[in-house]
Amino acid sequence: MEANELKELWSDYDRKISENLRLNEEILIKLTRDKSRREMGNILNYEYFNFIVFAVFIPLAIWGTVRISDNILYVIAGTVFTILSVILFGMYLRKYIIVSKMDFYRTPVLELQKKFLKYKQYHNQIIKTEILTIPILVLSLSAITLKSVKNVDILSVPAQNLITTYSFALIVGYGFLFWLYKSFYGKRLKNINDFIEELKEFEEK
Amino acid sequence: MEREQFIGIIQENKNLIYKICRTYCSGPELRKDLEQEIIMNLWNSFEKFDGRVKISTWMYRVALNTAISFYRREKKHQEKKTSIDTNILVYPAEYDSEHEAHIKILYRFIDRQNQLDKALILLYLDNIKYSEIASILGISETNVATKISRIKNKLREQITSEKI
Repeated sequence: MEANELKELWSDYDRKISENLRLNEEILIKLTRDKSRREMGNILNYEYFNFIVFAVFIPLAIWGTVRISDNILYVIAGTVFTILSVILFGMYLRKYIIVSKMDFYRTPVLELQKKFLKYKQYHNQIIKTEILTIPILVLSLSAITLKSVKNVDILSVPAQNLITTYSFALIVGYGFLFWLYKSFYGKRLKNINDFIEELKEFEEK
Repeated sequence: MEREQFIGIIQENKNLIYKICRTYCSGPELRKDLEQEIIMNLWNSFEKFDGRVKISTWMYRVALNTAISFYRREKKHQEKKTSIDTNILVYPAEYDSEHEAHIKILYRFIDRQNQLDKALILLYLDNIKYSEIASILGISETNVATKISRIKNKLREQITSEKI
């Protein structure tokens, strides 16, 4: 069977579909009414949530640190928290810009899929950064919060106990987070990289 | 008014959506999900459609992008997620003619290709011009011609081996 015969066959099939396929207009109208018209809605909502979280925590941490600035350990904890949060906030902002620039509806297939992959790769990079910084963020924020709100002083213990406790907490925290990353994101990253290769191959002759 | 226009466009091009869903989803439940996603994305983009490209080019771009993203997502999560539990495109009768075997062979062949080649085959079979295929996919016309030639050879071998 030659290419022309195949096309005729497909064309006959197309005609049969036209004769038999019915559009359920009622459902179509319902669908267009029920959901709001937002491009990339879920992804953008996720990014807004990240902004709100950091927009709340960064000023809170600064306020808490200023309140207890007589103790140098808390100043260090607060500064570390603020710097890491600002870095993460910057990364989320960049991710938001990548997403908001994606024109889902007018971009050719290959170009849009590449942009999606770029977004996903950057998302994975952020996950890695979060994993590295979350234990430190949690420890520093909890120290500042407990001291400034409840006057519980967890940093003013004998230095040896402090180092031991915090080291133990960090080891457990990092161990868990690395396991989480490997379990959930390791395979995802491989799929992304495989698809990038597929796109590159498709683009070449 | 806009909604009526949109429904009119979907009515005229329902075959396109049906064939893309059939190509990218093997099961009827996932096809239902994909159908809804494609139509939602077309609706969401309808107000931005400015006529700079043909309606078919716009529809193929949106539908194929949706299908490829859907396919990659659903490979991992094979679960039903439809918000509306009814097909928008309803095909009441089983297609039963001497052509059915050939169409099945064609779909079997298409199923074995990667996501981008599926798109290319579909566009070729739908008799879309090479220049429009290039615009939809974002590759050069020369690349389109080379790939289609390769696919035709593969398909010829497939059909010969199935003795049609």
